[in-house]
Amino acid sequence: MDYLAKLEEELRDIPSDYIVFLETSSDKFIEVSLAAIKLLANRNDSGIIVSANRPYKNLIDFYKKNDIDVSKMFILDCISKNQINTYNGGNVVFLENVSALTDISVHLDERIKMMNGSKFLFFDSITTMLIHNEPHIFARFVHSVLTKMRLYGTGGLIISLEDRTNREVKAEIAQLCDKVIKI
Amino acid sequence: MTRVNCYSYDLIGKDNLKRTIVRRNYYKTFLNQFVKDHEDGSFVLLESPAESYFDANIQSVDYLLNEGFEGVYVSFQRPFDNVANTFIKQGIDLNKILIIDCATALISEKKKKDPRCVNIRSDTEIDELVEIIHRSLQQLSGCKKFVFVDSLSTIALYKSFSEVLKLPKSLLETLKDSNNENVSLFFNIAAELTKDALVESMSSYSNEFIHLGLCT
Repeated sequence: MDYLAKLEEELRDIPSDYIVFLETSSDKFIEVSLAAIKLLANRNDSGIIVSANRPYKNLIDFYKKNDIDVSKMFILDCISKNQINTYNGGNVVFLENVSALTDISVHLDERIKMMNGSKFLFFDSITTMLIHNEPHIFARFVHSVLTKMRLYGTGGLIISLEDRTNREVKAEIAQLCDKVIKI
Repeated sequence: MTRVNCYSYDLIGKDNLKRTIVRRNYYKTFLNQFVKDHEDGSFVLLESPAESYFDANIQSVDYLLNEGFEGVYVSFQRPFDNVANTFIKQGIDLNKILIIDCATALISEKKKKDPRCVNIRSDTEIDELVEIIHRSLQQLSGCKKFVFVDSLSTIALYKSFSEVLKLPKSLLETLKDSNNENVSLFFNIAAELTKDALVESMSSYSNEFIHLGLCT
């Protein structure tokens, strides 16, 4: 199935500063996630990716292999720091871990303010982030980030795995978004 | 102001919810009923599905303003600009509404200066917020007034359960003490987040509890 076409269809008329909650199943997750990032990269001047699933290097290689322009992306890598030698610079910041919500928030805040033109934020994924965070604390973090995104006119996409994400947190986050899509 | 009405949107069926016309007609139907039944002010708990939550708010506010109400919209979910721009896009007259921007205060960001925006401090307690809502209501000139709180579940992210419950309770008491019992109160909650304890606690302010659903 062409997930990019499906996403384009779903998001055709929505403004670039909309925040979208995208739910998918584990068997489609990689393809849908890739389609989402392609769409966001095509539509925006720059973007921030909060990666809780793939380390920076793997993510960049994966995107390059799939013809995604990585020069406009900034990655917040929440998983590599304690596993390999890492240094911040270029288009990446290595954060302590997925539970470092304050650090993530501070870096997001800085980057969102620095970026000009149309910009997006991509969370990959809240399902993984929820494994490492208390649902209540995580929902508060998302509310704070989404409010900042709205204050700075940043659109975004939050991806979540169907059936594997805490129901109440999912509902809380979904109601904070402008559109909910299930693929 | 002695009723709690709980309208359950999720029973309408997910397929129908995706159809905007059906959804909007539903809002209008229930609000028509609401206005007929509760012209003297009421306490309404709105349960709406997370995926069409903000849409429900917009339609409710739009309808109330068209019915001659003026109101105070207490926004915990979204900052002033986002709410105001969405309202304007939907043709809602901002001159009839004041928006209390709690969302920006919750994250301690720079406040917006706008005559329709009421800013609060980030450390505002529930009692102070009630007083701010009350003062904002006094700025409105119409006879029919409402307060729309968006949403109790978002407040619950930052405040304890007892603090959350304090908001409707104190608001009711303040309005009663100031002889403003004709003000209608709306509290919106996403359906999946509705805690039985919260609904039960809020029903204690009422003589009657009504739970409505359209479909199975």
